[in-house]
Amino acid sequence: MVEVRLESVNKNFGKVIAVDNLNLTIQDQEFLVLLGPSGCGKTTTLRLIAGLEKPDSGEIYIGDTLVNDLSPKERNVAMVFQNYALYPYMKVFDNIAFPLRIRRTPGGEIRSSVQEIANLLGIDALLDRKPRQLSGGQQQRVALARALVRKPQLFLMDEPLSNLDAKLRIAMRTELKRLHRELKVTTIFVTHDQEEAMTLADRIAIMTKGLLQQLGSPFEVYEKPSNMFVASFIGSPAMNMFEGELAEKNGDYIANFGIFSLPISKKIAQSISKELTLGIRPEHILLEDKKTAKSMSAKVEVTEPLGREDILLLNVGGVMLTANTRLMKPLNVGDEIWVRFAEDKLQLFDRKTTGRIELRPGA
Amino acid sequence: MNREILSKIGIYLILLVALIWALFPLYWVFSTSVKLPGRIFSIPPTLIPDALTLENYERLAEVMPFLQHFLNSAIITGGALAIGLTLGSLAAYGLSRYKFPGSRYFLGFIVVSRMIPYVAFVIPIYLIDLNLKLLNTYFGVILPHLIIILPFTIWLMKSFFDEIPKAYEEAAMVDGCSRLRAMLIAMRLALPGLGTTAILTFLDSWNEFMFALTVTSTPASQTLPVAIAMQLQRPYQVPWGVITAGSFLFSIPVFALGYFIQKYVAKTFVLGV
Repeated sequence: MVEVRLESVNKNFGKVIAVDNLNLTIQDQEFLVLLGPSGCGKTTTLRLIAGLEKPDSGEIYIGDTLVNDLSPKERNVAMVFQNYALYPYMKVFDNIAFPLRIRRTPGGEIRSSVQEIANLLGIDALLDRKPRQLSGGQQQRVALARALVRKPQLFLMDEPLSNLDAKLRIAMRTELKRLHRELKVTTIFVTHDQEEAMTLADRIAIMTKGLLQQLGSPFEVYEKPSNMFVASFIGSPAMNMFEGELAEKNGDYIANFGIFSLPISKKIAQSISKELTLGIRPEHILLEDKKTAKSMSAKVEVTEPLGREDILLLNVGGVMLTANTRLMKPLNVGDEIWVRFAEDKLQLFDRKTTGRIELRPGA
Repeated sequence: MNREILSKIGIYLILLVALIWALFPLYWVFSTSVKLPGRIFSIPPTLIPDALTLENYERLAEVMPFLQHFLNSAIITGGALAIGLTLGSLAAYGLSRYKFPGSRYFLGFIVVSRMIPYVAFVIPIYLIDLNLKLLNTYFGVILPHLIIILPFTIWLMKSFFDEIPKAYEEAAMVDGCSRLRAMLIAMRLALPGLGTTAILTFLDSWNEFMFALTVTSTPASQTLPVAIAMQLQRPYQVPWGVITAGSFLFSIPVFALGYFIQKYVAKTFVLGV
């Protein structure tokens, strides 16, 4: 129940830049997901907030308190680790009670707090067991319980679902969402799994190479990726991207991508470089019944039926594109079909800056 | 099927030979200790004593304060273990968790220090004990034993700490522990390793002869191995019966310990540490 603020935070490990001039505010009661490929600095950011690492420069505030020089125990944050870090020699009850015992909480209060949190997480029947007698999902719940039991002001989670199997992961995702709604504790969640990020987050902070790339709602990062990295990182299958150039003809500007060209307004054309990249998400490649003015001929190279949808690898004039669609009738490899782009969904990027170009300002 | 049985028989034969090889000297010590004095050197040697006697054990108690020496050994080994394991685990923990200038070479240095022949330390240790007035004291013997125990403890315990994920300590610190208290969590998790180390170093200290001989000269301060070697010899005879009786009693704690902890020791060797 607190706001967290990082101001110009830097952290290097030897020559490796882990976090590069990070400015980030996590709002009170927010569920923020730090997302990025491995080595992008997301875990380091979390550990800086927890106090397990010290920033080389910059300031970290939890609430109004500058916490740079505070030890982890003075920060009143709770953390769930990727491997849960349950003490193997303690029973589940003692594991959950541990943070309270450290704080010399009276015994009666410990019992009632542990009982309450165990009920909330549905692990009250497991209190007498040792961690090794629990399944992965149960251990995960115990780790959550241990973090929640002392009612922290900030909740940090470092890839807590990555050790669970796919089914359990989805179940725990729902559980985490429910818990966050009930407890309203500011939460920072680290993951490399974009699906996890999209489903859990109020806002997602996408990082790579220590740099914050974009901070926004799941909708924003998907629909309006700030640059080429975010565009290609978010979405599965990944966004189709192909390169082209800006050309001028009689005062009209056209971005030419070989198989496709896009008229660009003069105002926009004068503010960007000539090297452009076009992006289109697989679900925005639409199948046509017959040739139309805007359709392109495509040859089916690979089909991947997933039941709910079909993923097609298409050869459009020598460019390989991935389409994600629902087929009305099965297609075979080698079939010739007609496709068109959903033009209002096209994304244009300036290859020099990698930034996204707003094609429809105000839209 | 037949080949399986044959290979099993082969394995058991090899194990049997190894077992006899290892246990025969102990058996010989025991059988000598219960033989009548006149029978010890009978030709041909008798594998199984034809008459049993406890005479050697009775004489052992008469010719030297056996219990006193046993106690000396116990106190010195206990003290060396307590100090060695405490300091060694702390050093190992530091080496496992922190990097400092030269930390990469430090462990190598420690391992090498164990390879120096102990005899090279005998004179320096004697002089140290002499100057600190530690000759004929418990601590005077404990000190050189630490030379043996510490490098081994540091090396072994470091590999145990390396196996323990840092996340346990970090979780403890986030949960409200100080750095020092978080270390105790790691120590608790390394307890099986500490047990194994204790047993292996127990043998080093309990059996140690050279240093104990050098820095003790009064009968009252001698450890059991020294006492058996020094006090039982007479100018014109070696009382083998009594010596073997003392040696056998001296070995019992080692075997008892070995029996109870073989599981852990085996685990350590399997782990490759």
